[in-house]
Amino acid sequence: MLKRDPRLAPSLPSVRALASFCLAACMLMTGCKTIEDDPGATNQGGAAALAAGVERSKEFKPVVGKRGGTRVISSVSLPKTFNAYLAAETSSTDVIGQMYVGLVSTDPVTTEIKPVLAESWELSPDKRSYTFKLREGLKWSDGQPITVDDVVFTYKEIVDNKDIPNNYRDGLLVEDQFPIVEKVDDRHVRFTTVKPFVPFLRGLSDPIMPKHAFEGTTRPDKDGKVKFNSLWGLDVAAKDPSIIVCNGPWKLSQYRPGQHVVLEPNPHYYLKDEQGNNLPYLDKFITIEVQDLSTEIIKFQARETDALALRAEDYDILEPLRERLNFGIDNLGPATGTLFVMFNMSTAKSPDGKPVVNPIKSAWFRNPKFRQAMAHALNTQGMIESIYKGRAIPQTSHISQQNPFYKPNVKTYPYDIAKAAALLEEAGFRKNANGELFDAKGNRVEFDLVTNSGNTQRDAACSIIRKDWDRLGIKVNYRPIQFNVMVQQIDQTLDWDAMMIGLTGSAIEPHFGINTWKLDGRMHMFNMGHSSRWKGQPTTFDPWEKEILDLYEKAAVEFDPEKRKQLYWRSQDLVSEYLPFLYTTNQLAMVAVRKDIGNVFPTIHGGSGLSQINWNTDYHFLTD
Amino acid sequence: MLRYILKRLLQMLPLIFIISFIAFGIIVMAEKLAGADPLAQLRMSPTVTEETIQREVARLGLDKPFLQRYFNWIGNFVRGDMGESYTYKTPVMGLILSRLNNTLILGLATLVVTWLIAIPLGIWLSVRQYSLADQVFSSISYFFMGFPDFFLAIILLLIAAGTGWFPIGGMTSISAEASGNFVVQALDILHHLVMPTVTLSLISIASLQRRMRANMLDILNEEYIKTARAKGLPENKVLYKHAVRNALNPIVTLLGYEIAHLISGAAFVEIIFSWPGLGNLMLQAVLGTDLNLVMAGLVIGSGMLLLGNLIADLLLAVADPRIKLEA
Repeated sequence: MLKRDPRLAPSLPSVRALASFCLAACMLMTGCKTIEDDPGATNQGGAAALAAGVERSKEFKPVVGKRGGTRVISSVSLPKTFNAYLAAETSSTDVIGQMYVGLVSTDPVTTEIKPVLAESWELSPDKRSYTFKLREGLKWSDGQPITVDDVVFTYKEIVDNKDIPNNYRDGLLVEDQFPIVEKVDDRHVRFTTVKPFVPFLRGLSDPIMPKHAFEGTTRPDKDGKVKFNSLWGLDVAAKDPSIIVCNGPWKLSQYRPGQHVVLEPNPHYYLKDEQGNNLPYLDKFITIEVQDLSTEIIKFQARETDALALRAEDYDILEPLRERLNFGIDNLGPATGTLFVMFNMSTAKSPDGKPVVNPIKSAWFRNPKFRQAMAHALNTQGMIESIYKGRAIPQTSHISQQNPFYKPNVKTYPYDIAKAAALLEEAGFRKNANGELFDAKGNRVEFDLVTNSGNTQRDAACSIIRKDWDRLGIKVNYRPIQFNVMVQQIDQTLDWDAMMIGLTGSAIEPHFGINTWKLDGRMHMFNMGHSSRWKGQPTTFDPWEKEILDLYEKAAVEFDPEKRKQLYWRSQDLVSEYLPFLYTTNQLAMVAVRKDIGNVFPTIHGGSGLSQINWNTDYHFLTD
Repeated sequence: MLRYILKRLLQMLPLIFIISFIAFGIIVMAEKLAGADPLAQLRMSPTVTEETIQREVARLGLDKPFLQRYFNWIGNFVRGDMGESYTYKTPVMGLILSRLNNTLILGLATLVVTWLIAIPLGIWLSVRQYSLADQVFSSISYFFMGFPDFFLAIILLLIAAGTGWFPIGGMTSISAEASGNFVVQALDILHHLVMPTVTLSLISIASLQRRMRANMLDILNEEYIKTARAKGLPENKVLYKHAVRNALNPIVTLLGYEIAHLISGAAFVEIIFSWPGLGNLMLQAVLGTDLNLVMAGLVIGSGMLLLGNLIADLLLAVADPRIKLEA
């Protein structure tokens, strides 16, 4: 058809070229601008971000606020359920966390355990049972009293119920047994564990659920269906939000799928300010769904939303606008997750007798000298500068820097290719004339490195790693693969060589990471194939793996904080000596929040993303 | 006519079964071969025990053979139960219905705007071939046809933010929602509809207008148009009675596909403009291997395609008297 129109046909490619040129030009322009605006960022990184940060005191002291007003934040996704125990990801728990509280909670500022629905608690002399005293006059959002029966119901019928798929039960198991929960009297409830267990108390922050709403729904009915598992889904929330009874600062006012969730104050929330005024101060707390990250920033710039969790690259765009748009950027320090490279140390054989890792490679991967050499060849500073624009710090431990049990002075492996080469030589590796590395038996050192596709930061980090390991004469075959496939390799097939992966971590209680160190744990990722889970010939374990587990188990029953710290410190020494995980970098957590909101106190322990600001929305208020 | 429609509708049933079987097979193959595992996130969570994971595998029936799983699914489907979403823990039907109409609103608005502008514009330009107006519109068309659509969406979003004339994405504003006044709410949705509709229309107007223009040019060179002009028919009659009706035929077929496109064509614009439609829901379902949700989306999508084809065939029969529908 275009034949008829010969003069227009050739213009097609040129117009397309023009369009793509415009695109490239726009991107270049924005790119240049940010570099000019912030010349110091690349070199000083963390310091530059800190300088722009807001000065806040060490202690959160709420002031008496003004009633009224609305806060609006955006989220890439709205809750997927309003049932607190079916919620499995942050988009749900972020909203549900505003609506429900438990017996105790971790104070995000002091990291101490503070009373919430419980007014106080006592630990028995044998340190196995906690007796909680509930506050007086507690009420659900529908006006019914909150009683000990609700607590017992929540733990016995919902948490410890194998018909209800929830993530809370596993966190409360002590030696694989659920604690005994019993009503003592109208105000007291007792939890008894099989043996003393330090992290147990912190675990009792699970949301308490209303017995009067759920009684009789938590066990299979005559058709074998558990009604609880389909209760308080999005359909109920959209039709009749008042059905969702809660006990936290906020209750559901309106839910529109894909659009917004509006929360309004729960008139029966127990907490009052120092003058006895009801909390929260605000009239509404709204979360709107904004799926695209660029749109999120545009909305924040247009003052439609009042807070934003920043990625490393967003800082450059927002920093110059702080004055004009009246917001501050808080640098909360390194994020609590980990990002590391690991080598497959498993010696397991598949049921048909084939080793999951080639024994030649296995010999390298299991050699601590080899791993140490690889650690010396990790250019973490290069990653920080090129990937995070300086807004990250090197990571050295499996316990987060923000954790009270973090050991700051473990053995580290500074970036030093010569040192790495020397270590390899010590371990019997030789380079040939072409600079290719061979092991003592004459095998060329070559292995696969994988990470999950779609993550540009990890992709860039792997490129940097490959370049440096290549300088040592190692042939690294780098390949990004689907996250699901990676999980399957770690968990089921065990047939991988080297892998970069990240984990989110508990920033306060190290014990919640014990699955990484249990020899038969699902997260003992660097050496899987324990006889209890593997059908073929099982893997073998080194003594230090057992020692780390022992330390964790001892720490779980050690009530003296100082002694506990020594145990976790020793585990960090072992990890940095034997390097099951080669830690890389840790991004700085940064949040932007408008300055006309009072009582804002961002802290890393508030949770992930905007929870770092929104952990105390009950005290937030609008200043003039 | 009615018999024809009934027959076509009946023919759709086996098609839907075959499509659902293939779709189910592909998803299960992805689970088995590519390791697309709905429990992947759970498996990587440090606090979850092995026992919990095994319970989930059994609950979802992931350990059952393929045929058993398919017949289980289709059995429920026939009874009107499309199952429960793994991530949302609610019936998928409700989830899809809550968003389907939003996607349809955006799709229909785009369809109407596109066709109302592109068809007349194509006709108008075809009779002015190589004129200045034709050159200008051709250039503009090529520009938008080659323009990356996500980029256009972001530019329009920035314009909305800069001028404040239009809302920055979303479908309703909370204040209008609170007013409780139906007229206010309808106007509010229209206001939110402008930018995403403009984004989608600009691109499709460009190509549809070119197509209409080319069809017209083809027809205008036919012998019978020359005859009509030679026998002295007024130009208007030549154009609108003879040329346009014939030039529209291939375009009407296109309409069938556009109807199928209604629910799947706007995913990226929905995401950028936070339009609460099916696009992002389905994207997340595929990424998270939410089997029931993906299946429901695929079946509804195929249903729309088949329906669209039927409507196109019916429209064609109306537009072209030479075509007879035989039952």
